[in-house]
Amino acid sequence: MSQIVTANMPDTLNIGDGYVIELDAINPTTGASVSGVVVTNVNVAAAEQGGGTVDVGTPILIGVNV
Amino acid sequence: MSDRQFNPLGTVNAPADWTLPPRLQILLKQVRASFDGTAAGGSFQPLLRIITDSGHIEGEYPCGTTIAAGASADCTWFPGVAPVAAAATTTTNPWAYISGTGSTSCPGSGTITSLPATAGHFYTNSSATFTTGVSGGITGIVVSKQGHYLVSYTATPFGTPAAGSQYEIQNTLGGTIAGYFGGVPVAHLPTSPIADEGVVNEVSIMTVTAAQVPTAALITQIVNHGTGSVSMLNTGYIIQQLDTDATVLS
Repeated sequence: MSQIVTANMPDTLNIGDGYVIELDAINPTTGASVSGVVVTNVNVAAAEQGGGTVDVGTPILIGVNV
Repeated sequence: MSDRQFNPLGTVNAPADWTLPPRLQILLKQVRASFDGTAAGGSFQPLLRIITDSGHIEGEYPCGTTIAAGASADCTWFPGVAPVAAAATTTTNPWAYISGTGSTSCPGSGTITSLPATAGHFYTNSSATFTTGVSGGITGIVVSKQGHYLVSYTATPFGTPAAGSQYEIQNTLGGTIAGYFGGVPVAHLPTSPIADEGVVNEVSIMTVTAAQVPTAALITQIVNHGTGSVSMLNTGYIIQQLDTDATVLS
């Protein structure tokens, strides 16, 4: 049985290409990582900002007779 | 643009890193993960850490709840969650109790008689504040910390007092009554022979200053104003520290 916990994070975490979202388990006293903890079921909900994939159609070559 | 859901990583050991792929830029709205601590090396807190593309930590967001080693947690991060309140601290005021085991004859004509107590009937939750001591050959409670103290003390006639017994009860610190709120204890003056039900009780607030600690032993006394003697038993007194303020009450 897992304990259900919630935590706060800022509402301004705008992150992009190359940034890392890290999920760690830390010692509450020292802040050091605690070994042996397994992370699963990671779900990230986010609003996609500019810079995402842009769908590009087949190029059309337009020729002009002069 | 619309919200998107990402389910990266699968099952991995902490710390679990998801590097955002090229050309993806997002505003985080919520992060959720399960932390299986079955094989954890100790108690832990789930932590969300954001690391920039240059490798610097931009922010760390612990969940604030400690998960015991061997336990698991599903942690969700989202904006606007109130910080976890610190656990309430329970404070316990120091107290002590002592009582006697035998009766003492208290002669009349205003004689003051101290009622013995026994160290074998001494109890306290703070030996740093209260210990036993002897004052004038009488065992009582020594106070080692300044402050205001609530003191309640009782004595009861042992058998039937002689006719003309009139007595009051008081506590004393080394022969003087010091710093009682409201003055000396109120007298109880039965004017006729009484039975065991004639218990006398007094409650007072006492100030102990820094200069007084450790105090002389606090003991119970009987003042018999009558013409006959009365045999009294110290049925105990309890003292409790109310605060550490040494302002003398008067």
